[in-house]
Amino acid sequence: MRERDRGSFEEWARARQQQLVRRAYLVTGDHHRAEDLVQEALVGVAMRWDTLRDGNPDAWVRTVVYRANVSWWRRHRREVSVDRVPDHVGSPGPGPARLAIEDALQALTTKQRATLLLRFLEDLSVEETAAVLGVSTGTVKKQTSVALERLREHAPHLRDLTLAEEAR
Amino acid sequence: MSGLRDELHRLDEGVHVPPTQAAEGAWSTARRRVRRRRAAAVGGVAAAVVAAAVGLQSLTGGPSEVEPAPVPPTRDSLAEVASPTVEGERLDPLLRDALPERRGVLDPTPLAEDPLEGPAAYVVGVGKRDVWVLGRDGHYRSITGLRTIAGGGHPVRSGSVSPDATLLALPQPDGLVVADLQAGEVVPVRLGAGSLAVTEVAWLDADTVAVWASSALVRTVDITAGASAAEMESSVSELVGGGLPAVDAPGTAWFPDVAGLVVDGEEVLVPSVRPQRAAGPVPVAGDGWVAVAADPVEDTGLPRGVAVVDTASGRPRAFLPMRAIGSPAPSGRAIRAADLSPPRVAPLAVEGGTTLVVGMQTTYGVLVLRWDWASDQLTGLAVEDTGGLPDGTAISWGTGLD
Repeated sequence: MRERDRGSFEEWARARQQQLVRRAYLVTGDHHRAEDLVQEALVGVAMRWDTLRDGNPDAWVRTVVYRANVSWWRRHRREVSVDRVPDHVGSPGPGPARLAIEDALQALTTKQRATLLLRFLEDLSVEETAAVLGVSTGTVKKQTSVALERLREHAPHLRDLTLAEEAR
Repeated sequence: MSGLRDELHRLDEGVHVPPTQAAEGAWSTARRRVRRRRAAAVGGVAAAVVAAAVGLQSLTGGPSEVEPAPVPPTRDSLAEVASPTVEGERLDPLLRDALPERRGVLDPTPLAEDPLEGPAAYVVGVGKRDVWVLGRDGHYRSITGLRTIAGGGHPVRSGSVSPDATLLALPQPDGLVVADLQAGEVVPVRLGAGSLAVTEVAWLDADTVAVWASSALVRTVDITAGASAAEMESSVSELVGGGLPAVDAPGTAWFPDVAGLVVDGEEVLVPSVRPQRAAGPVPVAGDGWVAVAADPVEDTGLPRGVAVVDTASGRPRAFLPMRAIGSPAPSGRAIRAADLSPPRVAPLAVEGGTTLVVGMQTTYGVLVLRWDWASDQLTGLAVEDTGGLPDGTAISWGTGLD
């Protein structure tokens, strides 16, 4: 790490932090954990800024956040209560459609949600998604199919959308 | 027809998350880790060299050298004290060693069957209808029969622990309940017809609880230990005008609706506890200083933490950043705080001199710490493994530490 690079790192990190946390929130469904994951990822970026600055630090953060969240879930799945409280309670102004898809996302498992977001929000291919999550392409395809099916169950108004995506 | 991609992108753009400062301190933390790794690598070599040197010295009978003790940092301005004082990938090793072992299995007994003999160390509210109270003996008691806010849409909200940690006040749809932690009794206090749903409560002094509804300070309730519901209901006072002074320090007042303190009539803009909200942890007062929880708003450039403010000058004298202790790592355990949980850090009590008791809700667990802000010495008093608590948990801070 070179101290003279600090300015460029902090400029990038400050510009990106809000969006990174927002994305991480969609991945985790938890504001606090989202912020923790992004903070840890940013420390990792800082340690590698020499090489990442000319590459794609956003993609590096994305991979860290998605993988770390799956790892976290594996460690704590027995401790997570089903009595979940949506974090969006009290948030200003979300429309019913947005809440519906947000709630539907939270009804997915951690891996299903990660797969779906990587495929359809991050616009990654099956191969790229597999690389981020460290799983096989077959697993990605299976998780995608199951996730879309569950979305249809929890948000019937998305039925046409998810069928269209699955057909692509 | 828009696709799922479009829907997700709209969600991504519209989802509300609080302003973050995740980037702050990342470079410094990274630099420390790099140095530590280098030192560890060098240390392995150095240890071998030292071992060899000691062996040689013992053979030759030469004198040993003693490393001077590190000088604790002095902190005169907030700018200087904003950097973390204790670092840790999960938890600082020194602090970790100082903390008791984290508790795992929680098996509460009803409070009425097993009242607390002494003040609670701190109190944790759990779930939708129950509150679990952790005593200083390390055992949990349960308080049941609570009603939820807004018809069950929200879990039980965080309450407020009396200054001597013998009473717990919790917001309820039509008032509040007061749990006498030592008698094991729960007394409901209704605020009368037409009252808004109570969202937050905070103790102002040993006998008075302030009550907020819809972010507006609406009532005070005079509460004394052992009082009946009728006595408390008859003591409900409607508020007129501004906030309530809550810090008993000369020339200093805390107005719950002001983002900061008022020192000698001048507002001190300490980054305050969720200034967009009405209530927060009540600051605690020392001799010539007060400690406030700091959950800064955007553009302050500070992390969450506890700020010590000089009551004469209004200037910050010390700052304990929360990130210095909690694990930023995904390996830590996090709980989902309730909708209106208190801030994740709070000054709890003054132990005397410049020593504070501080509570922190971190991904490692709920920590109760002793912090001498003048020497910046930090030791652990208690730690709770929040991984054992269900989602929806709300933390109610309290002390009662001698």
